[in-house]
Amino acid sequence: MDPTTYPVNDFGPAMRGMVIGAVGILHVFLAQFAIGGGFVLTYFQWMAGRGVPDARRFLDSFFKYLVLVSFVTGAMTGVAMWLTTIQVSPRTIGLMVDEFHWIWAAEWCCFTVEIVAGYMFLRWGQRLPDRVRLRLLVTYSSASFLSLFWVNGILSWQLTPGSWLTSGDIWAGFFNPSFWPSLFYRTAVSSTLGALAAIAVINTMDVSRAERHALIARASRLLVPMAAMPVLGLWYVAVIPADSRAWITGGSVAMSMFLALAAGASLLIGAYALIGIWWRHLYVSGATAALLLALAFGATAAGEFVREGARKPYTIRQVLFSNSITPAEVVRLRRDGSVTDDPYPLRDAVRYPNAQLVLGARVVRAQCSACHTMKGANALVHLGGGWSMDQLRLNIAKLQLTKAFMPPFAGPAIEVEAVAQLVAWEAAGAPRQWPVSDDPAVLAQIGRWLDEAGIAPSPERAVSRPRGETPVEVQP
Amino acid sequence: MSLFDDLGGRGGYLLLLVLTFALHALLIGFVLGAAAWATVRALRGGDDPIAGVSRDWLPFGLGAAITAGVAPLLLVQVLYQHRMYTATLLLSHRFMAIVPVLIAGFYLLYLGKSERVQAWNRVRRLLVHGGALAAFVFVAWTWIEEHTLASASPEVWVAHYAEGRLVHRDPVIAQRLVVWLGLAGTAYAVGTAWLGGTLAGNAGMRRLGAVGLGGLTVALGGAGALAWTYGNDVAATAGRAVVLAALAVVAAGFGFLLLAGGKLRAGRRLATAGVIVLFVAVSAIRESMRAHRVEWRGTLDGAQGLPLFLLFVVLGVVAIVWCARLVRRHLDRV
Repeated sequence: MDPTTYPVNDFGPAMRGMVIGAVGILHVFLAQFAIGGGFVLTYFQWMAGRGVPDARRFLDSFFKYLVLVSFVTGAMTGVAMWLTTIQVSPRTIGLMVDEFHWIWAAEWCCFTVEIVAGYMFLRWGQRLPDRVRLRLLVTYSSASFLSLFWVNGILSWQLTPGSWLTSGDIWAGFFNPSFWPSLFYRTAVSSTLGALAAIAVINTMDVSRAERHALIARASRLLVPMAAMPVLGLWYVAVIPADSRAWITGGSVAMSMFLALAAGASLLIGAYALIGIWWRHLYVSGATAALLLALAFGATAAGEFVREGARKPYTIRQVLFSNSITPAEVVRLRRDGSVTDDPYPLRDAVRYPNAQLVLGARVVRAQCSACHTMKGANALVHLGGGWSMDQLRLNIAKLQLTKAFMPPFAGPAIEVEAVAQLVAWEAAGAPRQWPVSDDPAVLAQIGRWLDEAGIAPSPERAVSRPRGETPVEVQP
Repeated sequence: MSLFDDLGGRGGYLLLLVLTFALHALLIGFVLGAAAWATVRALRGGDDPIAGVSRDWLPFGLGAAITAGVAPLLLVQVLYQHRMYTATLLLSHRFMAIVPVLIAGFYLLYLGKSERVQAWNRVRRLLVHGGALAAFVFVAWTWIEEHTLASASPEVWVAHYAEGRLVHRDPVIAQRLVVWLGLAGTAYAVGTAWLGGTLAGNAGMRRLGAVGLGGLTVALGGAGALAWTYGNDVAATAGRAVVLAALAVVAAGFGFLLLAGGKLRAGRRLATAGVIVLFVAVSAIRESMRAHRVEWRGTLDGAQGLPLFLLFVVLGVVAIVWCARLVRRHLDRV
């Protein structure tokens, strides 16, 4: 069996990208909370060693929450990320594993140290002197930060692979153009999440309001890195590819809105910290802290959506399209067909009135289902169901020109026609009878459109040749 | 030529897979055994020192087992990428269910450890401990099922997909599960002998020895069924590992007999050595058979970053040993 062919699962009205989005956002939020929690713990332990009242008491309370949330759900959603990525795009995660498995293995060493040091603190921390506790927590938080360091390099490589594309050197890929802004930005986010969670936990402590207020004031110092986030965000936006930058700053309304949501939510948290906590010395209640954490979750979700969306039409820039087809494979698939070698049959083949619609459904499954459903989220019927047949044919054949964030259609004219017929059939309410469309003149016209579009991505997403790929001859 | 001869290439990955999987299996074996003991205790009512030690260490045991499991999960993707991904996709939602099930099991362990639950009636305690045990058995079953499906032929995959099945049926799944559940008994017995040996007293030692011997017997029963199924394949593909496993069974068996006889120190050491070697040997048999039955991936020689990993292995071991010594030194003073 072709090692690039995988069975494709149907998630009903949810597109596959939504599945990874849901798990990914939760995991990123919890993982960054764990890292920020490490900062909080280390800082408060340092203060406890200097005799700050209630610091040690807060630590033991906070650590239980950290363990229950981060060590359990955080760790498990990390495993879930791997398994979910396999469900969504096995070729993407496969390529990432192939290139970076030793870096991931190094990250595993850091994660192991984090867990062991954390459990030692949980189990024996209350019986240890401050000096030893501080050493354990420095080890814990250093290991958790190193985990972020390693994973950040791999994730940022997906959008900005840098000179890895031509050299194949993983260090060039790891320390890619967006590595440092991304790392610093995530570190600031982690510190913010840790501080907000700390404020929420302080509100559960059985101490006087004045004592809680004093602890909150100290915890809020870890919100200071937020001040750097606008600069770090601009730095990140400046180093990503120009087309991705244009895409998130007006090129796509949805992406721009999500970017604005992320920035707006972060700004609100920063404004509250600056005006409310530091200037007016307001007391932050548990409800307010929870609300700020919810805002931070919203900012994380919107930010991750933008980061993922900015890569389109790739999952790994210039190497793998969103539908797990490489630029070089488009040439072959245009000639041979995109589902010719796919051994997995349709489970619902009997619902289609003719073989052409079955072919269309198989092509949609292979090329479109990563980001589209037929009638659910981001549905093909909703996008193209109102178009005329020629519009459908033209827009599918010239897919990357129809929308710059789409990959080129990777199949011959008969597959374009099959997909167009399928969308029209579904839009018509899936009638029992549907004629086969095999007019040679129509297929010839689609062929010309395919040739005009070429096999390269949209000119807006101009490419340099990726490593290991043969030059692609772009049709005029 | 042994599969492990090419240590600079694929053999090195395979050796790492065997060692890290054995570590993961040892830890998860302890978790399964401890969860089973806590469940039986809840079923019979009352409490005992061994059940207390089990409940106390279960959350850490599971955390450590999951952490240790990340390494073989990574290495399987390197060595058997297409097969592993295909099986994961074919089992689909049911395979993904291991994540929420494990999270639920994890929280049940923390709940089961709390003093409040100890005051609950028998039925409610049974639900907590039995729920956790059921969750871990489900996860063990599912991973074995995934492994078996990953080793199947493409024709089996296509039929599985076409029928929209979410369960892969194969007699060896149950046989292999029996082996691992038996081995879990041995891992639990030696783990608890170290963690709570002095608390358990002579009666507790006898019980742990019996659990270890029972575990060995169950594992041998499962291994016998597997040998019957696979025939000469086992000896042909994993002969040396089978011999090693047999020696380890003898050593562990003697160790458990000593433990049951009240000789804690000698029994514990011998049983521990035997069980560790047994887990490594069984993992080696598992991987040798898979490596002979399915195709290897293409060359992995181009992978970069091995020195970084080796450096972090050393740094990680140093950090963990340093933390442990630091804590122990100060606890001794207390």
